[in-house]
Amino acid sequence: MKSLFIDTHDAEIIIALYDNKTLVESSIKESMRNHSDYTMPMIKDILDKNNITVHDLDEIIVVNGPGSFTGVRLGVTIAKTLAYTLNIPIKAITSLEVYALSNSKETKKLVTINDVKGVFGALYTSDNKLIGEMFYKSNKEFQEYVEANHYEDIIINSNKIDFDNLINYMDNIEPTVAHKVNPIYIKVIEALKMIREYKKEDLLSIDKIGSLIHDDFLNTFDIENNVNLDYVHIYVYEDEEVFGFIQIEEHFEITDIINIAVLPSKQGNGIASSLIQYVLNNTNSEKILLEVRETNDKAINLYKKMGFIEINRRHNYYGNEDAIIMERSI
Amino acid sequence: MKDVIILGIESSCDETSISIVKNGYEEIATTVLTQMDTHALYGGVVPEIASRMHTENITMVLEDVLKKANMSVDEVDAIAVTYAPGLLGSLLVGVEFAKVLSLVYDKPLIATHHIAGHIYANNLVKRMEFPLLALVVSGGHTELVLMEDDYKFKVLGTTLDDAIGECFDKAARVLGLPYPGGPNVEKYAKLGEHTYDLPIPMNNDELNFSFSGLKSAVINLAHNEEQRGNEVRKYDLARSFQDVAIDQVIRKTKLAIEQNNIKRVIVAGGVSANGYLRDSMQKLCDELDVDLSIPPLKYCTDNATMIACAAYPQFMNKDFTDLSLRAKSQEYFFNKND
Repeated sequence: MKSLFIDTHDAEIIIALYDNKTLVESSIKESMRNHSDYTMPMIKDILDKNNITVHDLDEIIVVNGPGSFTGVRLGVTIAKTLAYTLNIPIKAITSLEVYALSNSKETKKLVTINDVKGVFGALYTSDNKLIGEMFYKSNKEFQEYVEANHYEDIIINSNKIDFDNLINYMDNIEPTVAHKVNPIYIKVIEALKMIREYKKEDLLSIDKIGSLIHDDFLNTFDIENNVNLDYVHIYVYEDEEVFGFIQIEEHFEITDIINIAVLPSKQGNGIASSLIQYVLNNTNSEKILLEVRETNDKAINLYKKMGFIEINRRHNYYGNEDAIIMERSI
Repeated sequence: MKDVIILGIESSCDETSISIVKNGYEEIATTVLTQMDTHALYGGVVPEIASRMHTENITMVLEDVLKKANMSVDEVDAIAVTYAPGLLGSLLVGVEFAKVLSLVYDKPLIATHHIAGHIYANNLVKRMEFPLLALVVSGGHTELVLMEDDYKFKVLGTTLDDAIGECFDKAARVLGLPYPGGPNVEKYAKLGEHTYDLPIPMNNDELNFSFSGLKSAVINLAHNEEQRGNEVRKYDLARSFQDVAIDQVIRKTKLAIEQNNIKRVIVAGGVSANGYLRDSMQKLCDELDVDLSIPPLKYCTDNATMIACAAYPQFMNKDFTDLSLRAKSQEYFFNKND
């Protein structure tokens, strides 16, 4: 059982080869901002040195971020293409998990990644279970968080990988379909983290956004009465204030998007796609359905981009306009 | 002779595209991400949050094109990929993907330049016969090139400053037209008249081009009108600009044909999608009794089919590269000293 480990999320490229969960060889190289020059040659070298070929590999393990945007993209592309073409299992692990399991502490552990956009952190238990993730726009805000919680001693600064712990940990991780192994970008996490469940205080903001979008919003969407039903969920996107929301109804294998709206001044920033993505990530249904006015090209394009396809039409559903029914399987 | 089948990969900008081409001119199958039947894929196209999703989709694009061609990668003779120019983050996904295919299937790897792709797209219409004159007009290139043979280029004329595509994009910005600038300038120009007096650049016997003076003239004109409180007639300015820009290209092409006794002309690059350029070139070539080839519109935009076409002569010359291939955001294609 031969496993190849690929980590390109940082300035150092790390390639490791295991045989039956024992590290055979690891190679580390400064990328000098050119992951592209070295990563594939490093993989070929490590295989050649051990007198094997890619066809002898049984498993790929890849660090899928967060970290260097280009680095992660490149490592994930190589890893998933290897797994897909060789038809072998692939397992993904985040850079934060790698650092957490490489450092033992008797207490909680706080792992951080710094990025031009800010500080991204994750809190783990002593046995590496994720407690929560956080994002701070500046180092100062992050320091305030650390001080307030007395977390000074649990921050992990070392970025050395414990290869033995890593392979044992991966044993408990389920492989993924190669097509679906994708980079984790801080930008995406950041957007998704701005989304949360509806609270009573959001009602005014939602009314305001809804009224700016639809003339008859207040009559159509009786949020106050609906939100208590256990199949109704509303998620809001909040930055400085509530910028958008999505309302869904979960009916077993089908989830309906009842309403989605973003403040006109905040449109075009990916908020609507983040809201839909959030639903995709958090539903147990098998497919998602929605209805859209046939003249609403902007919305139709967004849904198409997100993998929705037209399955039917309701004629003259909106006065003299059709409603297009769109569907996406999860 | 045995058929040569090349799998081409192109990811230099927004679209992920893979194509399988036989002998450099016969398209077997092509998949461009945006055209994929989402039903056929694992859970559909991956949602778009980041702007460009090559990593997310590229293995699915491969699966789709192989299915269409009813082939496996084992059956192709080489893997070709666009390595320059373009958006670095996008290019390198294609490049690394190509390296893995080359390693796993033990196939030679070919690094193909985007502009070579645009030139060789002409083989899809009619196989190129040499010598010929190639007019290359794109966002980064404006060249008149004499081709004596495959990959034998002699640059007869080039731009002294901006490329023509760049100039169209800047004019579009001055006119306040949305992305994509070039095609929108053409749309506006169709509705306007040539009423603005713009300077004619390089009005001489040289084969070189210049676009920066024209660009400045458009900017100054719009600026002055605004200062005087006059409204800029956008349709007319678009028309006046397009006429002067394209007429320069036609004039220089005519000179090059006459000076070099040319019998065949091809046009390549993104700007060859411009309708006024296509019509004017046809008129010129008819008048001079020269054979003209311009790729159909679908091959004027970025696609992997043209990359697999352009890689064929490289394959025949064993112009192969290795796993250390580096994607480059900018690289001038023609060696001016040739």
